[in-house]
Amino acid sequence: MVSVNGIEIEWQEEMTVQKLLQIMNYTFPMIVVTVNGIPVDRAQWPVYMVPDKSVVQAHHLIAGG
Amino acid sequence: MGITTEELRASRKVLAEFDYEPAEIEKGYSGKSLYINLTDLTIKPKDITEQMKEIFIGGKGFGLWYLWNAVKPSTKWSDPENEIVISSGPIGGITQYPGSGKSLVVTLSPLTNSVMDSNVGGYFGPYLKFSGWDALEVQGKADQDVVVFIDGDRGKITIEKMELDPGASHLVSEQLTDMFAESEKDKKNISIVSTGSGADNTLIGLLNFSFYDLRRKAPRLKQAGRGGIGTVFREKNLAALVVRYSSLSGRSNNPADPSTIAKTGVKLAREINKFDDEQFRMRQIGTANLMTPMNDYDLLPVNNFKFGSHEDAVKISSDVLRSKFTQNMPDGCWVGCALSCCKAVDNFELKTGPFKGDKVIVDGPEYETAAGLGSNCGIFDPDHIIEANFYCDTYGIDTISTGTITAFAMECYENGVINKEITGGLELSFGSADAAMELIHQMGQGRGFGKIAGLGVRRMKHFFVDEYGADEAFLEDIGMENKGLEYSQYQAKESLAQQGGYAMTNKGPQHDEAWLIFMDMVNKQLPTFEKKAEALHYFPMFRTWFGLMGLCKLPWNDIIPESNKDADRPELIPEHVQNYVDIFNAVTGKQIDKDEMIRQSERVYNFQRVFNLRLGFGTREHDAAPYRALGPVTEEEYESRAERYDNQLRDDVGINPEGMSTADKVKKMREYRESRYEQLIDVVYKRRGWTTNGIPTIGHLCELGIDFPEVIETVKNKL
Amino acid sequence: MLKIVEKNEKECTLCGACETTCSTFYFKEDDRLKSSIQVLEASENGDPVINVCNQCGNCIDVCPVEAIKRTGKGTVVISKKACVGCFNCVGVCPTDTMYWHEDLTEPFKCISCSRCTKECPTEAIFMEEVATN
Ligand code: SF4
Ligand code: SF4
Repeated sequence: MVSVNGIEIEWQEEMTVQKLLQIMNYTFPMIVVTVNGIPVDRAQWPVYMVPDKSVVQAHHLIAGG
Repeated sequence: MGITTEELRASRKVLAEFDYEPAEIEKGYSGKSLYINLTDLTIKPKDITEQMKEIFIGGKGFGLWYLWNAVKPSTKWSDPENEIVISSGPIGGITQYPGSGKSLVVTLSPLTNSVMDSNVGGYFGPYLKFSGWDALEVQGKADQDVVVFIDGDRGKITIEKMELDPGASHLVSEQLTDMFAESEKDKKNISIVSTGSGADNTLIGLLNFSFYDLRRKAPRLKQAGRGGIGTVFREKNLAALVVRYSSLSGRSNNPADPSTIAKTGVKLAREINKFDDEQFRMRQIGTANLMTPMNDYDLLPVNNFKFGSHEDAVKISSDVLRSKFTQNMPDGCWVGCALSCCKAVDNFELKTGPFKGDKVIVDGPEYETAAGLGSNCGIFDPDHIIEANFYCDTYGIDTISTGTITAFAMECYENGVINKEITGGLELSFGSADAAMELIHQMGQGRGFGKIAGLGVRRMKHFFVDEYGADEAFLEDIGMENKGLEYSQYQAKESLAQQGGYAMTNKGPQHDEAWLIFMDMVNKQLPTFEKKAEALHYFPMFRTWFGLMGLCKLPWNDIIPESNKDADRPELIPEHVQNYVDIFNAVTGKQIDKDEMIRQSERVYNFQRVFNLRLGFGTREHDAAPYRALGPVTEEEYESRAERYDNQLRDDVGINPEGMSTADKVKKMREYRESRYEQLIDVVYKRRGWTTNGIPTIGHLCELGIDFPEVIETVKNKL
Repeated sequence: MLKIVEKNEKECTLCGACETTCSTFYFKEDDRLKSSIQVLEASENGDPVINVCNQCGNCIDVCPVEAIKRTGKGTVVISKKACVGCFNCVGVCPTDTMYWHEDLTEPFKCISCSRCTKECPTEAIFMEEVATN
């Protein structure tokens, strides 16, 4: 299990940040990601592996329409 | 349309005139406001007092203060004593910081019967100030159509009549720009406020504020859309307001410290240049960049806010709209806005209506328009949206209200509340683009079912109940209005905070006070009632500030600075907040900090709440929301997101949904959500310094320094 | 036949003659921050950096009042009279050579007048013809 913004989802092998965001359908252009409290740069998303039992925050940066 | 510029000029007849020496601008203020009464054709200057500057700051603050003094508790929107007040604000008109040219319009609204305010681009507000007037009050009612011309170059104001057909705003703007400009070059020095026949025929009339687009060689129109301000304008028999000011420079606003403004502005302009293409693409798509993400996050209103996404939404995605917009144009609604979000479709050939076959410039569609006239009506055709956008603007009707009204009518139609006989043959089911387009023409021209639709959702509900015996409870549930104003176009069902952000507003459910959906629903940053209440205090106050200053909200958080990565509270965009503090100080020479900034807003915000109270509104019952905004009204809605709702019943409500009928589940869910909304109101009121009935306490008003006798008296009577 | 100020940064001795020439001619004072060519010490390879406009014209498109034009010769110039001092052109300039100064309401830039090149003692700057599009 991985927790993403408080939502529990199934962990998978080879689960990168990018994969995880895809699963969540988080398509927004301005997201700041931390995995277990560690910030992960956008450039690292395709390669950064999310370990099982991680707590992930995908912080969407919009405060207003 | 017929008349030539020469004929129009020849038909001018001055009914009243007033010569003046334009006041020097001093640190963002001219220190004068202009009062015009159309009944007796009075034109006179007033002084802006220090107290006004201290407490009401400018913009919407000035508007509220003048309107408060102009009306009585019994005044109706259509009474001559109602005013339309237009004011920019102390920062309004600086050219160096993106988003600094807004005008704020305040009046009593025909939709809500209470105070309305609207924030609009175009050059009118800044030119008005540089012509010597911090604010313009228009009171009274002319006995024939008149045009008010403020010539800031000559120091002359005239009230005139002329053979102008005020029916189509794009033509009025063009004709008046042509006529009042003294040369081709002078056109950019003119700004027109006008509306169209829809403002005569509906209660959702808007005002178009123009700016002259040098590259397109035509006036562009920006809308003060919400709340029927255009309807008030036409009720006063105003055909147009015109201002002319030709000496715009980087120092027109005469700030205390130009260097700080330049430094801060250049910093932001560079930021926009560097990051916009990878962030929100405001310069490419404007606010329509939200179409795709809103659909992806189930937030795009579909079929009268029943759903939040649709498989056909790809047909009106951000990128589809981008492909319609002319690129690489400095599309700023005020000079110097590097964010330039005012996209336009050029050479659009109209397929319907009085201008069928014409090739026109269409301003927008912006997100709200595309969602309202498109997805919310089940219509996923970009060309329909563009055509509907054009006609709404030129008829002078609000695209947001039009969208929500049409969607409501469609749901009524599909449920048999109304039928073809009642609609005069319009087949108003979701997705019928032709019927929706025809309804716009009917509203614009005051024909058929358009006369009923033009009254807005609240009156339509009453009308359908009274005339056709409709089920009142159902219509109250699905009619997306609060305080009489139609909801703007976001799906708020899964964000309790945003439900409050919509319904606990001063003017009605417009998202300009707070947009908390991502913070609340996606990021889960607001898990407790207290956190939600804090957000529903901070953001409405913070965002009120833009309207006191003459500022646009977009350059605050539609471009994100690099420093935000390390910010404690990234959702506040701290660097940009500091920019605003710096700029305010640099313009006015004052010394505020970010706490005083919130205080400034809090004064005006609470004053507006009391103003509502004085007019018979502004209490808890008026902050109630239609259930469609809070949760699934129908079984169809529940079933469409059954897994989500079942989980919520299990995890949040503590009920096992297994074996329950959908009707029961809808009912349980409703009890839960409605009680949560009531709890939210309690906490928010407390945080805002209000009683449980939503009335600011005397102590709070004293603390804010707005304890004027009439304010206290108003509150005392209601406590 | 567009001529631009070209540079050979290796030769620059940071004497500042170009800056003095430019600001004195156009602003009647010797202030390097009012020069349309500005020389900076640091660069990665150790050579000075000479910042001067290459007349690319990106700024032309963003000016809201069409105050920036390309002349017949191809140089990009600002009409001070038309300019409303918004600095959008400063923000968009890819080479950071559209300059602004806190004393001034309008930005300023190199117009290829060649005066600075004549004063450079080491020929670190010189006029060169480039193709226009
Ligand atoms: S961001 Fe858009 S709406 Fe705001 S000032 Fe700029 S152009 Fe106008
Ligand atoms: S600063 Fe002047 S020249 Fe530059 S973009 Fe603004 S108006 Fe145009």
